[in-house]
Amino acid sequence: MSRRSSSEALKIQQHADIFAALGDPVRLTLVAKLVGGKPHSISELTEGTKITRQAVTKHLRVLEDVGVVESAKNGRENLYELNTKPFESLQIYLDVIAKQWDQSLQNLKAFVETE
Amino acid sequence: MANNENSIARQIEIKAPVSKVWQALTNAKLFEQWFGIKFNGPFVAGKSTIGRNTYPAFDKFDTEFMIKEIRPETYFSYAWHPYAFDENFDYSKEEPTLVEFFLESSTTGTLLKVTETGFNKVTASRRAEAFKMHSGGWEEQLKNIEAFLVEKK
Repeated sequence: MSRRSSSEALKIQQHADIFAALGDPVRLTLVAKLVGGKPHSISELTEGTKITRQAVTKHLRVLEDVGVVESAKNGRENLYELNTKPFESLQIYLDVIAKQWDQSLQNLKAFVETE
Repeated sequence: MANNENSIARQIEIKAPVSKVWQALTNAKLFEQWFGIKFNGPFVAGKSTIGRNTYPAFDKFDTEFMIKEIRPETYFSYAWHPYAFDENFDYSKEEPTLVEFFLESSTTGTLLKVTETGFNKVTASRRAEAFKMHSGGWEEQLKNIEAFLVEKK
């Protein structure tokens, strides 16, 4: 395997890992809460959900492992923040836009077929 | 269909005649209904029309559709700036992407293909922003899921 293709393979694996990490409703909810840009504590992220603090901590670790979330110590608690760097990748950007198109085409299909 | 380095290609089978799909794509009034947008004029080749997003979170944002080519019942294309939702950014300086629709009649009705090309010109920070915008859309859907899960308990 050439150096180029092995680094490509590594990239593809990283993208797959990010999508796998996001492919869970609880983790997606956490990401959605962090999208505003403001760092949140675990208590804030647990508030208003039926999920335990422990479960939130576990899910945040999964997101941290793939680099989507970053944490920093603030006194006694950790603050979590979204890291959008991974999404600056062109491939991920295209995947996101492609998903948007899939949605739009489904809407068009439903519209034309039921009209 | 796979996405290559700087383009997106998607296709869908629609159980309706080509003429009907064509209308839904090129009649701005019909396009509005499935796309979630409101235009200030019809689609005319070589002219621009401004569309205002109708999704609540983005209803302050306008998107310019630069209509390129309209070939009856076979091909329709426009250029735009995808996810141009930052009020402080001058998108006119950016290279737009090109959206092309290809229509073909099939055994079940219509095969519609869409391609979007020219993404290599979009800057890295804009890409990250697109992800955030998409997450905004998720947020709404996730609220529904959450409500559903809470009710079930």
